[in-house]
Amino acid sequence: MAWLEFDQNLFLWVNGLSGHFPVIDNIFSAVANDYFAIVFGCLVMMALWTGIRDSEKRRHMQKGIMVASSSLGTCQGMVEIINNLWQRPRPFEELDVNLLFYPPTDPSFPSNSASVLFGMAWGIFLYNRKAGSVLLALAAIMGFSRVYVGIHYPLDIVGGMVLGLLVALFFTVVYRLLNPLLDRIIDLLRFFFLA
Amino acid sequence: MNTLAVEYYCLIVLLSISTIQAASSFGKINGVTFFSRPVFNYLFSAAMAIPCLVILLTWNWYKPTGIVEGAEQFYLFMAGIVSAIVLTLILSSLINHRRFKNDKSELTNGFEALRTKTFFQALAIRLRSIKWRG
Repeated sequence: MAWLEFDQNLFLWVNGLSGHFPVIDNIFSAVANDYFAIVFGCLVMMALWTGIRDSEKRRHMQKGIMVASSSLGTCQGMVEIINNLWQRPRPFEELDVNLLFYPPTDPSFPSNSASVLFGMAWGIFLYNRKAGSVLLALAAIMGFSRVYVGIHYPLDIVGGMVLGLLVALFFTVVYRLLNPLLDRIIDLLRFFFLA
Repeated sequence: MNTLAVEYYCLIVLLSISTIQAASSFGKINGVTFFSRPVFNYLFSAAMAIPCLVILLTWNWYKPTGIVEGAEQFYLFMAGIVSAIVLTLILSSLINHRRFKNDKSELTNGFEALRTKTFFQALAIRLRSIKWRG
């Protein structure tokens, strides 16, 4: 298929940038790792939950964090379902690549890390543009890094980004419909000084 | 639990504590902070968070194939956050107990209550005010 060929060519071009400057390779390998970006995103959510002084703004943000957390969990589940439907091989299994990372064993499409991080980032972005933009930028850098180090095709990252956006939009709509319930949950947490 | 899982859990606990401390200082939730002066709180948070973030960032370098699998990672992460919240509430209540002991301000809801009381002081007042059945 033409778009898969385009995806492979784009992958080869991005991955071809690696291997020239060890410092840059090391930076992208670090950013591509399984833990940093997702943990950092969760810490940002925790800071937003706690650190907003104005009570009503904080309530609004806490609803956004509920959307982001739901998106995060749902994206993880959706990735497993899609992985069962299409077991796309990793680039290093099909092509001659510069592999700068350990070889993951799960299917390539969509990128699990990208889906989860974009789901969280879009959820936050829909409620707080500044924090959301930071997380979206981080997700984009991590996505690029995972292509650069040779473990994902660009389409895997774009798929994760779109999946994250759709799931976050779904939860935004659902939670707006359930707004009174969310208010009750936050009121209960406030009763026990946890929100 | 294997060593990797324990290491990941400890990193999450320390990072969560440092995030709660920095955010509480910023949000002026004095009953939860470990230090009364915000600058000390920010320094404490940075001193804990920066090494932990560096360890996370370099994880795949010094453990090339050592990963905590997805589901285990999620449970460890949740356990780490809950542990950090519980530890923070206990420690901050112990540290700030004398500071807020004589506070007579009215109890409000939410984090606003923790600006002039520790978590357990506020909780005790709240539980006393509930009319129990029976």
